[in-house]
Amino acid sequence: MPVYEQTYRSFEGGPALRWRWRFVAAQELRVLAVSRVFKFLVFLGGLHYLFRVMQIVAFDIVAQDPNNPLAPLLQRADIFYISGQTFYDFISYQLTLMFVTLLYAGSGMICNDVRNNLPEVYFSKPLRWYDYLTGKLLALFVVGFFLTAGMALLLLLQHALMSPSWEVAIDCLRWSIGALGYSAAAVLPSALFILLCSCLVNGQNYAAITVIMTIIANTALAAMFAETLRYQNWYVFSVPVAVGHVGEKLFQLARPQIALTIPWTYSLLYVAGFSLVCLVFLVIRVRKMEVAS
Amino acid sequence: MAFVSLNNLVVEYDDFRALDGLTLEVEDGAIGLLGPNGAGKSTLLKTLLGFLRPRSGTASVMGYRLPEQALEVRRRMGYMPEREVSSPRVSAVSFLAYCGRMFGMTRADALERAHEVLNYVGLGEARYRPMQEYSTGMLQRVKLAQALIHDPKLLFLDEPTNGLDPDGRLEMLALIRDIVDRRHVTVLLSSHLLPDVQQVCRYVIMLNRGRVIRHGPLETLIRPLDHHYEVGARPGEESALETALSRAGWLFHRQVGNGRFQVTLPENADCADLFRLARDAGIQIRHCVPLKTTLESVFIDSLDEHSPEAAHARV
Repeated sequence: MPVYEQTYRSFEGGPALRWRWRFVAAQELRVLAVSRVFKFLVFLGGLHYLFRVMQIVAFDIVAQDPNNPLAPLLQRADIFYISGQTFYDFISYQLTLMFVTLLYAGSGMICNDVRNNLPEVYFSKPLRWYDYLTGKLLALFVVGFFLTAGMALLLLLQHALMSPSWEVAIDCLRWSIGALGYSAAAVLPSALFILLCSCLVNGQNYAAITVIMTIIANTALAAMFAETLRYQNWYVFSVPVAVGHVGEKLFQLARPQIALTIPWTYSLLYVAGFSLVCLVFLVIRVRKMEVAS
Repeated sequence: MAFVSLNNLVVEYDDFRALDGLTLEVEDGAIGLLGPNGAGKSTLLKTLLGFLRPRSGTASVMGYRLPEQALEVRRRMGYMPEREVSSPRVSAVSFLAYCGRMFGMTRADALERAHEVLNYVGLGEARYRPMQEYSTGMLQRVKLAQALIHDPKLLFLDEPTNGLDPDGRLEMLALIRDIVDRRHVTVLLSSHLLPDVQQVCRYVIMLNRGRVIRHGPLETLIRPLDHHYEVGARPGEESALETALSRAGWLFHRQVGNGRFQVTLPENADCADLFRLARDAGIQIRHCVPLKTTLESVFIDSLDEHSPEAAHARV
């Protein structure tokens, strides 16, 4: 109760904003940015990035310098060689970290809001369900792309700047598209599925457990079919395998590790279909939070 | 123009009819929405926010049709929900600034307004702490503040004194009174606490089983009762007064503790007869006020009149 004459200013109404989802995304990122666990996970991603920065410096500068005593050693060491495989490996390692980070950031995004009765408050303001959902998804995409494609693009830029030639520039452009495509193929289904689980269950921990168990079950089922029917292409029904297949094709690896004989577009379609199904269920659930009947 | 206008509004949850042909016009001021649990109060507020779609009938708020123009309604009204609301990891300032941004405020403006509104609801330095550390009273203030951030002309308050201690409750009611009187905001206050409504509102709508069972200005609902008085005698003469009143057959109820009596006079008697009776018995009356109906008694009478048993008895 105010003990002195206290009031608040009039407000005549702001402009009719179209993209209110950006406030939702910004708020989610602001909340994440103060979390120690999130900072630690991003720091781990940063360590890997720094290692790759050193690798590029070693290959592009030290190994190319005939006066440097380390040059012959670095030229012989495969580990320092820069190719499409380098960036594919970088993103592949980052994907695990990206998934854990998204799991931490996204598994509570909706269920915690629901538990704290926030949708009722948000939707009593000029915010629609699609603004809310887009904002949440965008926050996860930003985090996911930053850890994978974002860092990979920085490495590619560094590589292009340190060894300026047309061949390297063209390779870097090709690998940039590969990095974006591979990251998108991994981040989109991960973010959508994690958010869907957050929408379907009551708590953050349950959502995270549901996500992990589903991934394990999905991969185990694909392996079971492949081994039982003696047909390796059944492995494509594992979403992580399908994503890897797409990534290998986008980077045009000389020695692919995933032994699938079907066209990579099948894997891409499977990942896209999985993402679409997640999105549809997500839309139904989140819309119901605003319009109950 | 009526702030809220409902015409034969029907809202259903699957097979359960929560609002059953509601027809209502709400003018400006403080309006109390009374009803027992499950009467349809919260359903009505959610329908007015566009959360629930009516099965039939029409609803409009400030001239905007629902649910088609729900977004326009939400831009102009504030809503304080019944259930506890918290964004555990952020401070009240950050939460309110976020709410302000949804109304199209710039970041700086939203922050300034967040501080103004938090000052207004009386949340001090705690506003910088994460909301997970707040008491129920603090969360209740934040809930009111988020409804006021955009200076709405219409405010829906769903059980605003829930979970508050007596002091906190009085402060919350004083705030609501201030919002109505000084800010000229139309408040629709939903509560099952009759004293809260009586303290704040000037118009009352009583709901039961999704229907309006009574509505009207508070002063017409709570009116003096004819021939009903509360009387008290000089200290030490209470038992003599009780005896005299009993002998006359006027004693209705003895109030425990304060030595006062509720009396019901016959049709042909008035207050002067009461004093005459006391004078004849050698008693000095020190207190005599006409009794009024209470909101509680009006509410209970209305519920009884509209109960299925009463309807059956009338048939």
